[in-house]
Parts: sequence; C-alpha cells; structure tokens
Amino acid sequence: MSDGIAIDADGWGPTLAAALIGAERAPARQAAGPLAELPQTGDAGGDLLAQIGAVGAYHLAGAGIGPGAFAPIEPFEAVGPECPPAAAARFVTLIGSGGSQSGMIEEWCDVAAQGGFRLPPELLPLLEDWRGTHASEALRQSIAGAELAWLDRACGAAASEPTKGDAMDSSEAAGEGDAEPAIAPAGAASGADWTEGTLAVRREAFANFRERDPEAARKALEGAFKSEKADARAAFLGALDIGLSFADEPFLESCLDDRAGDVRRTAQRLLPYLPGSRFLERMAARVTAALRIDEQRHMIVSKKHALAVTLPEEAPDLVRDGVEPSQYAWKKKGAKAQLLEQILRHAPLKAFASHPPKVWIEQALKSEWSDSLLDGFVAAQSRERDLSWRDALISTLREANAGKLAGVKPSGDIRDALARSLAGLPQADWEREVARMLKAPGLDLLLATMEQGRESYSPFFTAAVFDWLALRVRGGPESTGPLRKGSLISRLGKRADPSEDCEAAAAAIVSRLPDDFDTYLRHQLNHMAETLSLRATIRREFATR
Amino acid sequence: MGLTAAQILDLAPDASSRKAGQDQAKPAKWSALARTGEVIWGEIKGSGASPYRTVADLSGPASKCSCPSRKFPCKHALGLMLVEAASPDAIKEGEQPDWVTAWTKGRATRAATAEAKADAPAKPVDEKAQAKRRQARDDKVTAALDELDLWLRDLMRRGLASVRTEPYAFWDRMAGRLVDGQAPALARRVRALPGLLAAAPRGGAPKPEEALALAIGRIGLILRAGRRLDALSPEQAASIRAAIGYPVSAEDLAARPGHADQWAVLAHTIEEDDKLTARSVWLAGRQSGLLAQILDYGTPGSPLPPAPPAGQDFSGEIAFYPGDPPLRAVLRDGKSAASPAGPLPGSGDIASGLQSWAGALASAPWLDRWPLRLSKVRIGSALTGTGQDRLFGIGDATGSLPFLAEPRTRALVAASGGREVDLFGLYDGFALNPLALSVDGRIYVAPAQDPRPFLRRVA
Repeated sequence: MSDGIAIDADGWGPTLAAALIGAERAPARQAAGPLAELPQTGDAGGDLLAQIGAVGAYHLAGAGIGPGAFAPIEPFEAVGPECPPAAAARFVTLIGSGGSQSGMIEEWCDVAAQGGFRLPPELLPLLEDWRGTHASEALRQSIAGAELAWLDRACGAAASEPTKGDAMDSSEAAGEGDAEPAIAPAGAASGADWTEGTLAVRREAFANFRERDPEAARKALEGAFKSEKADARAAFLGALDIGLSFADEPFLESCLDDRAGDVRRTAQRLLPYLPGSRFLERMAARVTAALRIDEQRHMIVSKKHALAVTLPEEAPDLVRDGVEPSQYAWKKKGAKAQLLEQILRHAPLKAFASHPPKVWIEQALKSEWSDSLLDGFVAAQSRERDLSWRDALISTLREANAGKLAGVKPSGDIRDALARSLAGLPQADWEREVARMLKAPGLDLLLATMEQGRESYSPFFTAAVFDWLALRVRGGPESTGPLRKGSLISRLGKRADPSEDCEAAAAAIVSRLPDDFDTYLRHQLNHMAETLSLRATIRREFATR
Repeated sequence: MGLTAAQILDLAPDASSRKAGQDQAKPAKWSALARTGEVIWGEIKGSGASPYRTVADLSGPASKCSCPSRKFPCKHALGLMLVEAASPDAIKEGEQPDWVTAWTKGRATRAATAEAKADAPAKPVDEKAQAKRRQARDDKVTAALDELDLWLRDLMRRGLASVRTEPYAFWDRMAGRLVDGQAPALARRVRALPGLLAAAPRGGAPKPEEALALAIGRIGLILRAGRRLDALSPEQAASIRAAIGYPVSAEDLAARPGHADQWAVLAHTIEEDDKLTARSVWLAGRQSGLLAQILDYGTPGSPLPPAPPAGQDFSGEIAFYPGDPPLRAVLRDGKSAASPAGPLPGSGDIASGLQSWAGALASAPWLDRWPLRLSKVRIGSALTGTGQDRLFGIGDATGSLPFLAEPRTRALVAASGGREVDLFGLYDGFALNPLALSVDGRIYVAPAQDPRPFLRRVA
C-alpha cells in the first residue's frame, strides 16, 4: 500500500499491455519480484495466460490507497425529531407507487412538515428524485432543507463525484441511467443559474428567481427572450404569474406578437389579471360595442330594460388577443357567440358599470345568447373575485334555477353556472349552502355544486356528507343512479376530513352495501374508503412513536 | 418475535408481488383473522368462488394459501403477515380451525421425516458404480478443460484488443461447450466475459479491457489448478472443484462440522441471471467472528427458500462447504432472533480489511471479490486506484477505499451523517460495494430487491 500511486511497481501494466496486443506481437516478458519464478512452457499464449492470472492476483492483492489522499465529509447534526419508522416506511411505499399516488406524497410531506418532523437521512435521495409541483419544493425544504443542503455540500466536496447536472447530462448522452442516476434538479435548482441545464431545471430555477426578485427576473428574461426557443419562451413566460404586477404589462403586451402560439397564449392568459392593461381596455371597448342595455320608462316609476346584442365579427385584432372560435368547444355554440363569450371572459367587470350586476344577469338570462353571456359573466367574476357580482350571480341564478324568474326556464346551463358561482364563496359559507342542499330533495344542483367544489372538507361537513351518502346507498337504484355520474364519490376520499371518525364512517358505508349493489359504484365507494383510510393512516403513523 | 414490514416485503418473489401484497395488507379485507402464538391465519375474498384460506408461521417464516398463484409466498400470505406487522394487536388469539391444524401438523411431520431420514442409516452404496460415474464425469471435465485451454491460449496469442468485435456467439459457444463438459461454474465465468467488455464506464470499476484480462487470468488459474488437483490440499482442491462446477453431495455436506453461534445477518444480495436468481445471505458470527455466505438459487419453478432477514440474528448452526478460504455455507437448525446492539462482529480497520482480502487471494487467487467488515471509518472523498479520479469512499488512519459508484451512494452518505460508521461490503481490489452500514447503533442495509436509491433501516 502506498500514498502515491505506482501502477507498474508490480508489473501489472506491462502484463496487461501484452495481453491486449497478444502474445504473437508482444512475447511474454517475465514479471519482476516474487513472480519471477513463473515456469515457462514454451507456448507463448499459455505463458501469457499464466502471467495475467498470477500478476493480476498479485496486483489486486496489493491494491489500496493510503490515508493521506482521503478527505472525510463534514458531520451533520440533525435538528428536530425524525419521523417515526412506520411513517418512513409509508413514504418509501408511496414514492414507489408511481404517479397514482403523487398527491398522497405531497400530503405525507405536508403532515410531516406540520408536525415538525425530519425525513430520515437514508431516504433523502428518494425525496430528491421526487418530481412534485412547484409547491412541493417548499415542502421539500421544510422537511429536509438543511439535510439536502448539507448533502449537496458533501457531494460537492467529493470533487469528481458527478454533480447532479453532470449526472443528468451524461446519462442523457448515453441514453441510459443505470451507471449513475439522473438525479432530480430539486435541491440544486434553488441556487442554480436559470440559464443552464435542461428546460425543466431552468424553469424551476427561473421560478425561484422570480419569487426572490420579480423585477430583475423579468428584465433578465426580456434580455434573453429573443434567443430562446419557443417552448422555453413559453415556459419562462408562464413563470411570470409568480409575483405578476403591472410592471410586467409592456413585456406581456409585446408577447402578443410573438411568433410562437404557446407564447401568445401564455400572454393572453396572464394579461387579464393586470387591471388597467391595454388588453383589458380593448376588451372593455369590445364589450361596450357588443352589449347595450336600453331602458324604457313606464309610468315614471318602473323601468323596463332590454338587452341589445351586436355579435362581434372575426377580426385580426381579436385573434391577437386570443379571441377566436374554437372547433373543440365543449358546448355547441355559434362562432360569433363564442367570440362574444370570450370577450366577456376576458373583459373587466367595470365595463358593465352602467347598470347593476343583477340587471345584466337577468337580461343575459333572457337573451337569445344566454349560455354564452352567462359563461362569460361567471368566468369574469371568478377571475376578478368581485363580491357584488358574485352575490348577484348567486341570487339571480338561484331564482332562475328555481323557476322563479319570469321568462326564464331552468336549465342545465343555469344550474352549472350557479354551481360555479357558489364555488366562489368562502369555505364555511359554501359548506353551509351545500349542507342545506343535502337535506333538500333535488340532486342535480347538489351534485353539480360538489363537482365544482372544494378540495378539502371540514369535519362537520364531511360528517354531513357521509350521513347523506349512507342514506342514499340504502335507497336502491333510483337513489344511487345519479351518483354514478363523474367521479364525485371516489374523489370524496381525497376531499373528506381525514379523521378517524370520518374514516370509520366511510368504512361503515362500504361494509353495509347490499350484495347486489351496483358494481361500478361499489368500486368507487371502495376507492373512496381506501383513500380516506390511507390518509388517516398516514396521520396515525406520525402520531405513534 | 414478529417481522417488520420491510423484512416481510423482502420475502416477496418479485416487485409485483410486493405491491400486490401491500394491497392485501388491509385488515378490512380479511375475515376470521386469528392466531395461536406465531401462527396466524385468515380468509380473504379473491376472484375464486370461496374465500382463500391463508396461514403463516412467523417464526419460519413459512406460509400456505389456498389461492392458485404459483408465486411463493403469494400476495395473500404477504398481506396477512403485513397486517400482523402493522398491528399485532389486531389479530386476537383464537382456536385453530382444522385447515390450520392440518398445515401445522403437516409441517411438523415433514420436519420429523426429514430428521428421521437424515438419522437413518444410509443405503449401501454401490461403490463400483459410483466410481465409474465419477470417472466418467472427470473425463468429461478434463476434455472440456483441454478445449478451454486451447481456446484461451489462442485468445492470448491474438490479444484481447482483437476480441472486442467478436459476437456474443463466440463466447457463448465456449460456454456451451463447458456446460456440456459438466463445468457449469466455469461456463458462467466465460459467459460473463462479453458483458465485461460491454459494460458502461462506472466510477470505481476497472476499465473493460482490464476487467476482461483479470477475468481471463482467473479462468486460466482455475484451469491450471484444475489439472493439478492431486497436488493440492483437500480444502484447496475442493475450492477448485467448486470453481469448476462440481456439486457437493448432500451426504458430504451433512458430514461437515457444524458451527454453532449467534450469527448476525449482515445483508442480502441478489444477482439475477436470465433464468436464475442467486441470493446471498451474509452472516457474521458474534462469538467466532467467522464470515459466511449462504448462497441459494431460485428459478421460476422453484422459489428461493426463506432466509433470516437482514438486521436480525440467526441463532443456530451452519456448516461450511469444503473450500479454502471457507465462505459458502448452509443453514442448519436455528431460528431468527433479535439482534443485540453492538459493533459489527469481526470488523477491523481498513488495513486489516485489505490484509484479509490479500489473505483470501493468497489461498484462492481466482476470487473476484471478498466481503470486508470495517469499523470506525469515515465517509468522504477517496482516490481511485489510478489516482486520477475522486469518488466517495471510506477512510481511517490506516488507509482509504473508494466506493463503487452506484445510485445508493448518496443515500449511504446521507445516512452516515458524516460520522464514524461500521460498514460491510464486497471488495474487488478496485472499489468497495457497500451493503450495510451501522451508525450510532442504527443499522441500515441496501434493500436487495429494490433498486431505488435508498437504504432500509433495520435496527
């Protein structure tokens, strides 16, 4: 063993060279030292064969490097409790289950972060490999931020250990990743330069840059924009929705003339969120041209309104702002009606300031183009979150849905619009509304509202929903038939409150299903109970030490 | 004592069974769950008309299920054991139904029969016929070795640089000839040669040509020694016979002396050929300090036998196969036991580890790797043998070793926390492939059947 490396001290170098070029061209030379006594047979091939065997073993037996060349990594002291073994095992299972449970990984991390738990160090690479959403980066930092930073430092210190970027590049170049893993960019991205790496890495880095300093990030992007490829331009532009402000307006406006459709669409998506932008001004002007309410006074006191609609024509300036008919529209509508709807969707609500919201909505309901107008209003409201419009939409649509608005027939469109408007309510109000519907006889509005609704329910509301569901599934095919639509039931598992009581309530519903129960719905109910049980189990596993 | 979920999942024959087993691990899916001591049973609804009956003995671990699956253990048995592991209290003591009693009785009877058979006086051997068979095999092997010798000498005359372009058939033909000549272990070595040339560059591994030269050198050594068996000591000759592929008969193995000890199960490793799964269970004796490799083969038709899980102890007797240095062994009587905290049995510093490697090579120079047990080493950046690259590795006051670069290295570094660790791994003269790690009383192993970059904490 030596501190320096003397490759040929044992004669292995020349022996290997001879083996490579062959005994015919390089007659076997005698090894030095203790192997000098190797017997010669006169057959060059045989002698060389004996020599590589003996010298090779001798060479390997002497392998080893002295302590001088070794540099230990710095120790790391973890702060905070490590998550319990059962929870750690769950993490390994979840992260191995592929895409099907990616939401569950996020939930696991969330529960861990709330409990102040750290991820056990031996699992860190799994967390690094996990490609979550942008939000998962924060979770990652909160359950293993210090550990990941230390690990990166430690790996950086081992100089020629492939860094993450290198590992990715080399594995991509080789077209395979089995020698060294392509490690996800997660940890490195936060500190990395956004101009280097793969597009996903760069986008992540740019998003972080934008979060730190929106102004500088936009200026940097503006400077480099022309030289980027189309998909990169669209990806970076999409990241501007982090910290979007009016200062971004000129740049976004200029992007409406970009060569790439994706870039134009991204700009069209972001601009409506900038009050006072030229984009919104143009839309407001178009609304004024298309819609007009005429007032007719009757007997001095009562007023009668009439909505006059001038459908817009297709035009290049409309196309520039993303207003064009789609062949793939979900509802069947005429081309011009589609243009009208899109103008409304992207218009500022102040364009309707001439009359109260209620008047506009009533007139829209009575109009020939009621579904286009309604969809436009609901979309504009949910973008601007205007409270007077929200309340007017809810109250007017509720009247119309109940058939109490003169001249308006209740329809599926009205019901869906109402459900979408209700989704704008604060959580507690929304749950109160739906809890009331649970007790009412009709199902259509309830189901539509729940489809549109919240991604997490309070314990009180979960209990109410499960009570209602337990009654429903006992009611026979007429009662359960409507539940088969959509994936409402199986999604309940993700939305319900993950307490043990709710878990038990869901399990009870499943266990009491009659034998001849609808197979599809049974599957959905099972899925719901399993998902909820998994979520409750995740929490239990953190609670038990 | 119960098994942990991770240990149960290690019993699974493949990844899909592992996943399916976890799906069955929900108490709600089971009915009539009960236990008597270590024996647990239950019924589960499958696609069949009547529910499947599953029973498992955790002390084995062994299991039986009435489902038609050919996998063993099946997903139901895994699920049943996982239910027990997740909440041992959920399964209450109960009276054994007939089918459970039948199974436990059957096991006991089989064990007794096997014992009786082992104790019974051996049938008189027709020594003449035996000698004749042995001679026939020796002749066949000698012929195959002659052919291999010719082929290798020819190879050496041409030079190894020229064989890069040879097709797979070039190697496979020789390997096939060795199989016909009843030298299967040599055949495996020959068949592995083209893979060495085609291997992707990997940190810590030798260059393809160098790996090929060393592998051919080893084959040459076995060949040379195989023709001079008479001149070798019985143990050395046994090593060579094993390297050629002579089987060791059950009687010979039964006659080997037993080594009773509390064996720490250090790690499991699995190597998969296209049809053969070779599993090694690495043991270290707590009193004797001996190291043993329990090698079992599994094929699609006959699954791997159960093995004591990594991180626990195996308290009982093992017997070494004949050979020098002794390494391969079989388990005899004994059972899993809890593992006491403490240092890795028989471990030492890096210099003594390298000494043991050199010692092993001195007795068997055709070894391609050797298990090292190292204590109180730090993880850091080490030079590779060429002195040009830096890789993760270990070091102490007496020397340093690089790790073989692999996806799990990062997890290993993370688990060490930069502190002093005890380490078990396989060394090939170039780099160390770490398999188990002990830090501050915590033990981590590389999961044998899960390629993902993490370690499993087992204690």
